[in-house]
Amino acid sequence: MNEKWRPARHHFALARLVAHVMWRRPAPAADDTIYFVDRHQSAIENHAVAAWFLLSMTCFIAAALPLSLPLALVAAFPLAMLAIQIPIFITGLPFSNPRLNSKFMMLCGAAAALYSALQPGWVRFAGWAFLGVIALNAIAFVVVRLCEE
Amino acid sequence: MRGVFWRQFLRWAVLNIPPWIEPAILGFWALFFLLWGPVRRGVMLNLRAIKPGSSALANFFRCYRVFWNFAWTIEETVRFKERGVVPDWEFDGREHFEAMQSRGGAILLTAHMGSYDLGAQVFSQVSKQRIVMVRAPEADPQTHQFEEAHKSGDVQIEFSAQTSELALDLLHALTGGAIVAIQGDRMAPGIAALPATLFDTPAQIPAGPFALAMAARAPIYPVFVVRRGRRRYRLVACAPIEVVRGANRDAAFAAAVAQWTAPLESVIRAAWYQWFAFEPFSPELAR
Repeated sequence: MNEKWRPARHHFALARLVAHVMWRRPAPAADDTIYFVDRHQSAIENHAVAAWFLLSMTCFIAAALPLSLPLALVAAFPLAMLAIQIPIFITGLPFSNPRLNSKFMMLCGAAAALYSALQPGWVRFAGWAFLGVIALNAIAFVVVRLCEE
Repeated sequence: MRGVFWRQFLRWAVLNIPPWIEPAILGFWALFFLLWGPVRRGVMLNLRAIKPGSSALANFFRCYRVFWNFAWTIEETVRFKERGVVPDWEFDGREHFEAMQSRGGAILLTAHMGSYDLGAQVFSQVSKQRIVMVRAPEADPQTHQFEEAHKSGDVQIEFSAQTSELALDLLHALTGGAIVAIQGDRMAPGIAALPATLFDTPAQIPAGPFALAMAARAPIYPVFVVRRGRRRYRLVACAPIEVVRGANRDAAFAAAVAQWTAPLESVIRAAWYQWFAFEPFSPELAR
């Protein structure tokens, strides 16, 4: 078993599904790492999700800017870095509940993606891609549930 | 950035930010602190010495990497304190670390690299020996109060400003079998120094650990906690340094300092992006 890929070290269903496959592979021979189990422990998963969310938001914001596409993307990137923090303050300040913050943030992302998916132009592809990943994760959730049962 | 507000804000952020978006948010805050002039200049001067011939532009971008790692390090330390989330650990020189653990009465000499705080706290929970950590006190009383309120109960923290009583307390702890963890890579105001050479530059390092080792006849174990990635650290333990008591004290100290700066330089050279020395390590660099 490759402990690095233990499914319990992953949070999202898609990542857990990948982990179920990778976990069964043999561990590297000289691995004397002590692995701890926390559902947010996986670096690959968290960096990938953060990049996916941030780049999607960059696209959604860029589409709303009155600039040519390359300039809009460049300008939208720092704005997206700021914008993704707003939902944390909205729910974090009154409730201070990280699970609620996480759900609200994903809901904001999905709402922005849905709005973008219904727009004409290139941004609809970014919107559908975001929603597609959410749909894939939902399917993975069912598969993982069946696997784990 | 020494005010209590930043500590409170960091704690609030750790308790509220979903872990899956942390990389993006820490990326933003590392950028924010990159614009903070004095600290950036200090890091860039140190980088110029670590990487001779490097350009200012390249060091500016390297500086971002230092801040990025620092942001992760403090985040992971607070997450451990508040939520008990332990990172993954790798070992290099495990035999030295285990020898130190089993014998007790040793000095763990480390640097401002990776997560010194996190390392001390994690290992105090698994160690058979008592861990006494020596650190510089917070200048701001409110920050000091905040840190006292949120410190882990497993590590005994002593502050390096209380030099008179501290030396006796540490000597007592060492003879009682405790492991005394001290940072030996940069000076704090008001502490005794020994001359050293770091990256071919004359520098000063704290004399305390060496004097303590000589007085207590305790070995010094150079140990570094190197950050390897998100929630992943490597503990690098080196062969012990013996500070031999003899007729020539200065020569004994000079030999011990040379044995300490060799692994220190080597680890910093390999992991320059996580040496959190935000002031020039030598006055010569600031000229």
